[in-house]
Amino acid sequence: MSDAWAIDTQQLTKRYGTLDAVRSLDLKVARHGITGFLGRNGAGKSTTIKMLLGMTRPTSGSGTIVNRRIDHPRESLEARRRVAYVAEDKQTYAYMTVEQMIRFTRSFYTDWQPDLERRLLDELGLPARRKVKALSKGMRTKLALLLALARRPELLILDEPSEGLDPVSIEELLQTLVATAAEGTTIFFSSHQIAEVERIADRVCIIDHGQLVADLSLDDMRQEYRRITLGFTSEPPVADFHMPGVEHVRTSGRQMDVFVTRNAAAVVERARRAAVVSLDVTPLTLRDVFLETVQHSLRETA
Amino acid sequence: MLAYKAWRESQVRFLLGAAALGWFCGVFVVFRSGIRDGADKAYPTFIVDAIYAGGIRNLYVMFVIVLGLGGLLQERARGTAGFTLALPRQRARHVAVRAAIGLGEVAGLASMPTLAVMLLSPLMREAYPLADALRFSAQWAAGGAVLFAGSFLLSVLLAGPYSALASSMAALLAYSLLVNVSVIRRFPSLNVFSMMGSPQLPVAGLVGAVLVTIAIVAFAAWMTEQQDF
Repeated sequence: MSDAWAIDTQQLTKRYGTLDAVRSLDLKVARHGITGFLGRNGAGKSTTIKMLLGMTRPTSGSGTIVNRRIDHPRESLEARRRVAYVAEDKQTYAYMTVEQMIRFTRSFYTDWQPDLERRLLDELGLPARRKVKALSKGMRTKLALLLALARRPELLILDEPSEGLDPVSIEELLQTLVATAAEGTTIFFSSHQIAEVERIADRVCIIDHGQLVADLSLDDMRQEYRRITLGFTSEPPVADFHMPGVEHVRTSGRQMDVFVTRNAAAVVERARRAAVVSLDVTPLTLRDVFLETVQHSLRETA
Repeated sequence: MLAYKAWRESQVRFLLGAAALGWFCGVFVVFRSGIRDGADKAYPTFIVDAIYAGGIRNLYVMFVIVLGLGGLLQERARGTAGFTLALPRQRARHVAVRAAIGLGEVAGLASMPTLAVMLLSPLMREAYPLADALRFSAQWAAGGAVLFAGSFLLSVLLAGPYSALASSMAALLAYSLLVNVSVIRRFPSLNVFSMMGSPQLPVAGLVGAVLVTIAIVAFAAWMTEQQDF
């Protein structure tokens, strides 16, 4: 166990019958900052989160969350005191009013902060006397956030937080998350909305078919990740480009795309020596990285 | 606060049950002369036949079954299981609190006939022994607890809003047929319904009912700990 990690899993696996929902997942999420957990629908994001929170038992493997073992009932309970969770559907008890929901949730946490609760209630514009069942989805999300944030958790986990929200609510949500991270809470959120992740995350973990296929810093991505498109007069010399920093190479006729995560200059230099007729270097966006990674993972699986 | 949640989730069912039982018991007491054979029987016999060992008992059983429904699997269907399970409490605690509140409500429903009979009999210039009424309430509570535990367990095992209710009703029907099989009839303590309407205090039956209820609720808690949500 290391204090550096808010989440740390080793070979975490969940199998439902013959289906591997999560396969040998080694996931590390650093404390502080915002980590996006990106994947297609059914990639294993929600199952991973449920295992982290003790809602689903791992088939094998292990993990810790805020330094508490996820498969140990007492430690998992202690972890839930320090971790807040906003589920995908953001449902709370429909029969309670907003203030009853707050009073109910507050009773479970000794570190609840009434001042913060009042501030959030004000900022989020929640109607205290209205029943949860009468709230819009945007308002329900705000209530779920208030219940999660009013105790300043060490770690906030959100499962598809923007799902079903209108653009204004999404914007408010993202701003709240950024402000929360700035106050010291580690944020780990799953999404398949690449633009949202790219806007607020510091790091991104990409999961596909239950496996971690990428773990990258967005700053590194912006500075180092490049697609280098090369044109040749004859068949491209693919083998020459298997060098450090090259993630994968794809050819189409006499054209070759080289995806690099570092060392782009060295690749360009080698391309020039290999007598290219055209050379184009473009920075990769998270969307490019995600699609490349997922498609590459698909090809490898096939 | 888990108790508050359990109460809020079941209060409508409980209050409806209490109102219905109170109302029907009141009708039997007040309109006794208009009910077939009502005026011919001695008042205490009428009360036992019509209420404690009669149709009102069956109504009580239905409400008890409905009170047992709910729990984390049903919450999953409503989308609140994620919130509930993220609270820093063991699942067994959720189950135990819901069971405790439910059993309290079962006892509350069991006391409704006694309340109605004891309050209304003097108005009709009749009297029913308080000790007998309390004994019947205790028997109803014990028998109701076993039936409550049964539907409580089925709610833990079966997802879907209606499957637990449908299977509880089917199990109740099967049980009522089973206890009337001649071989089983030799063991009256296995028959919860006759225990509830017994003219003598069935001490062994009551103790057995309490133990069976505890065992079923404990099994439900264990099952809940094993489940994936």
